[in-house]
Amino acid sequence: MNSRQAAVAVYAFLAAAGVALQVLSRRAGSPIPSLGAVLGRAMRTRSGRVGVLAGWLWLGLHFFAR
Amino acid sequence: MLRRFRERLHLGVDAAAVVRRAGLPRAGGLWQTRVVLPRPRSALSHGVDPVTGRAAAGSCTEEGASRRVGFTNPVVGILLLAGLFDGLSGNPMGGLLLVTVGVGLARSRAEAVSNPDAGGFTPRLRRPVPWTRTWTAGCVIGGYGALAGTPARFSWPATAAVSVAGVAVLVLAGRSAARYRAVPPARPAGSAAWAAVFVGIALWELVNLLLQPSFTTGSYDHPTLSVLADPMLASTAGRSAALTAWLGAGWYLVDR
Repeated sequence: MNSRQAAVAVYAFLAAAGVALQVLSRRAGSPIPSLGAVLGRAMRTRSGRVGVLAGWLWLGLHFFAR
Repeated sequence: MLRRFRERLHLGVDAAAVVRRAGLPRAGGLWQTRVVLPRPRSALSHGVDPVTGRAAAGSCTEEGASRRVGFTNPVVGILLLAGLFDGLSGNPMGGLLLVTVGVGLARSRAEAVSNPDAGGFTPRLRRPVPWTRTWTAGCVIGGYGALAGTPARFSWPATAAVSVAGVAVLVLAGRSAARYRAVPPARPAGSAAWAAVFVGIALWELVNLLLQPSFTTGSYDHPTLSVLADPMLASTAGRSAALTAWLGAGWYLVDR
């Protein structure tokens, strides 16, 4: 396995971990909240709302805009 | 302290008599009197209460303390750090956006700390969203994403399209800040698991960024997410799909 494959493997592992958490959150009585619940709680405060929206806007500007 | 008290009373005044008239508590004899005096005002204490060591109200020390509180928020720290690395990576506009938002948020928190009686963010429960609104938003997002993906990547038309959409979502999110959907109580262990995933992605991205030949040059052996996304975003279909997904995520956040 070369460096690129290792880097991609780590990204894939982290993405799979996120998918696994989302699937586990769907089970009845699960102690794991869904991503929507986590974002919803984070956006309750002014700091969280501004931070999440700023991160979303930055993603768009970073990948598509000049 | 008793000498200062006498000085304020223009000397010669019987301190014990003053204490008796003022009704202040005292202990010991006349010249061993320990008087419980009112706290000196900020003019005498130079902005710091000599007993508690805290900043007196309205002093410069208190303003500095509230400003520091604003910058101790972890969200502010993340925004400033991300802005720094984004600027170093050859994306000054993105870095400037993040730093500006971070500084603005810190100042907003500082003002909230120094003026807690001012109106703040008070969300209320909202009514469910009708399905017609969701379908309409979906059609608009899909059409806009397909249209905005047509110009070349990093061109001025693409920048304008992303900026317009970003501003629209921010305006909608700001107007919907007073309403939110009820969610279950906090679950620290599960939230920590999600935080670990996001922190892991951010750290691995930073590691690959630092392993690049330079901040502005991508590396095949140590690819960042931007480098990995380049092949997909090189085509119009890929850009349209990605932009649609990005706009959908923005609409999802407006609805939170």
